[in-house]
Amino acid sequence: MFSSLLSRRVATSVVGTLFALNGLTAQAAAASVVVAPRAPYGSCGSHFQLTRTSQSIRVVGTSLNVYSSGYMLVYPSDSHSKSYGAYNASPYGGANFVIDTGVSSKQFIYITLTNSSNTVTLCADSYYV
Amino acid sequence: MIASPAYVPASFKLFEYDDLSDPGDLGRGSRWLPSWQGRLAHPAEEVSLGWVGKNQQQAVVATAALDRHPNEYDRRVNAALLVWGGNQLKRNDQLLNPALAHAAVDELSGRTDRWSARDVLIDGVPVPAIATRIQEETVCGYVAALTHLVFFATVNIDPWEIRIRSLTDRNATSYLLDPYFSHTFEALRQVAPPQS
Repeated sequence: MFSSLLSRRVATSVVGTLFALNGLTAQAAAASVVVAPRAPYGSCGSHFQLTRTSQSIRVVGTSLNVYSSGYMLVYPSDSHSKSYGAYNASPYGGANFVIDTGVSSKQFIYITLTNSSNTVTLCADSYYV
Repeated sequence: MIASPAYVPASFKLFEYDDLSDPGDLGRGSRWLPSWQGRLAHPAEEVSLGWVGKNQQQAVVATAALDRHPNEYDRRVNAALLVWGGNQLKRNDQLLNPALAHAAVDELSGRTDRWSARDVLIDGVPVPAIATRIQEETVCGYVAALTHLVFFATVNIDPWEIRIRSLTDRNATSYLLDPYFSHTFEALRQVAPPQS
């Protein structure tokens, strides 16, 4: 319970950081102010499950069709401001990929799910793994 | 803007469900490209090819490089994800709750006693596979060949009659979007899942 709350709190606090880390998302966010207001987005919660093996972290996304009927993009980043991806995600097959963080100690991994043109953030969350 | 194309074909040969139809023959069912895994605009690391038959049969066959899922547990997880990772297979007990989907994948993948060796036919040749049955109608499993992994999940197909074949250039014409060519998200969006 505590870790869940902590995760949510960090997720909330890192949204701005995520935009800073992810140039494309930042551009999209800026552009969306002009083009159309962005709908509020929530936590990705249990849609993503992250598991660590040494320096590698496998990211698995399921039931992503609740966010979009089209293809999506997953932008992971880590506690050291290193960004990965974007990785493809499908409403039919979810997402499944491995990132190599270069460190084996636990850290927060931040996940942002966007639409395929990276103009709308569908959900964001952090995972301590 | 996102650079196109979004889907870039894998650097390896793909496999598909073998319905014994002639290449390019759309008479027995419909084929589609439900998903792929990998970085945007990079060669796909894993490609899923779907088949929907005329009588509620469904199959998804995913091909990946051998090192993408290096151990047996990872392979069981990936096979289970073909069933519960999304909605590329329409099933009676579809798990829409992601926590339940992850739990189902974890539970099945962790139970080695649920998986057993059996042969599947690949290009007409019996090849050892590891597979499991989920309820009555669904089977999932994988084959580890010399250079690649072939995952499969089927619904309403006799578990002893699972056939897989190489996707030849000619077979690839059965798909509205040829999996051996690059495609943009715009093109991918145009293709709706086939109906049984």
